[in-house]
Amino acid sequence: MIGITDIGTYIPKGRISNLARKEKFNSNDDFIFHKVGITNVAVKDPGEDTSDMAVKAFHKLENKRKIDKSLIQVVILITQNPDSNIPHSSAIIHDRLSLPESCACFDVSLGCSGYVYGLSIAKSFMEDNGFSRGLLFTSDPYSKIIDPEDKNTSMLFGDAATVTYLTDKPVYIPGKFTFGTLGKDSEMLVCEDGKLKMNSRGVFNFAARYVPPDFDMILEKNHCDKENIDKFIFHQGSKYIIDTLIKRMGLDSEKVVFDATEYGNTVSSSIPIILEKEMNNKSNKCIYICGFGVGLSWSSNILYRTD
Amino acid sequence: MDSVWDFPGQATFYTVQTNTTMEVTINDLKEILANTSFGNNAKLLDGNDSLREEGVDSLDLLDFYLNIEEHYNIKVNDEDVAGLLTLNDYQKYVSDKLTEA
Repeated sequence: MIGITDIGTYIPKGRISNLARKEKFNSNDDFIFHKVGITNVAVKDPGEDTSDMAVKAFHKLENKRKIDKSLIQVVILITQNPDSNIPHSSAIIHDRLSLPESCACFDVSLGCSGYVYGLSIAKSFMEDNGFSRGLLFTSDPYSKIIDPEDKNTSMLFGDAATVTYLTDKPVYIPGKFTFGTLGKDSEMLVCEDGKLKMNSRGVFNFAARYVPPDFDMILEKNHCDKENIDKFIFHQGSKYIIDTLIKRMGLDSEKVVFDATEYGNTVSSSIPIILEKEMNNKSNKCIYICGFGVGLSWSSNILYRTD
Repeated sequence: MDSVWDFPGQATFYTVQTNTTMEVTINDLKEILANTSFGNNAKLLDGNDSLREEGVDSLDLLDFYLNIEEHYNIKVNDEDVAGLLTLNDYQKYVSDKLTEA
């Protein structure tokens, strides 16, 4: 069975401070710390592109464990801001990592729900084709499309990339997934004239209304009780949306992670960044993950530890 | 649910003690606002107080609109919120919406 063996993460060194911009955006420390929850957003170097960040995430992974690249059978990249439309950026990554010609590569155009969708796609692609070694990348640098004058978005989104090493000797196995799309409200998050535009109220309403019933569904699909879940990793949209979900879902806040304070909402990278920190934590046997956002799209899963 | 703007008619995630005729009182609205992160400060407000000047921030308002929609089964339109500055404004707005329904 295919699952998560390890994760590598790359967060660029560059930061833009929200505290330094509080006058500009008519904000204050309390709002930034306790509501938005993000004090700094990570920003890539202007010379870095989507594939560069993904490759750096892989090098971080290689620093932790030896990976025989000649055995990699599939590369999937989750991004909506590729290096360019053509070729697909996973092919560029393939070249940069000198992967074998037999390796399948493709991009998946999803945002904040993308990592969870990506796990399902990778797992089923690998199992269906008898593969045992794959790489699932997330790299979606929104700094390419953020309007620095837009308070709604520029104080939230940060750049990062991750790679999840999927093998037949996993540490975490995905359980059953849920998926959903609200295409009628896709206009809540759009890129117009190269700039991101977000209807904050629409996105907030979506998350507050759709994530809780989806949670009931994922528990039912996996025959799992809420009390059995050791950790809740939501997409790190903002501290406020996670606090809202804690309240609406009746969760123990001690079990819910908010980690994005120093780097921001990194889109599809937000869940794997946190998951990497769990890889050596044997006490968390059962982890709930839920991605939700642009599309509007959502997906959730329960990960089960094997050791 | 077809859209984030459609109220699904589901139970709210909290309960507010209201009278059964769905009369909209300032106290009911205070209790709904108290269920946002603005908290029990809501109970100290007067009907004429400017919510923003009393410290209700933009994120509290998003939660307040959503809670009102779910509790009263109405839609708080984006184009109307600029004119909703006090609890009295909300009381009239919600009452008018309920009358239209």
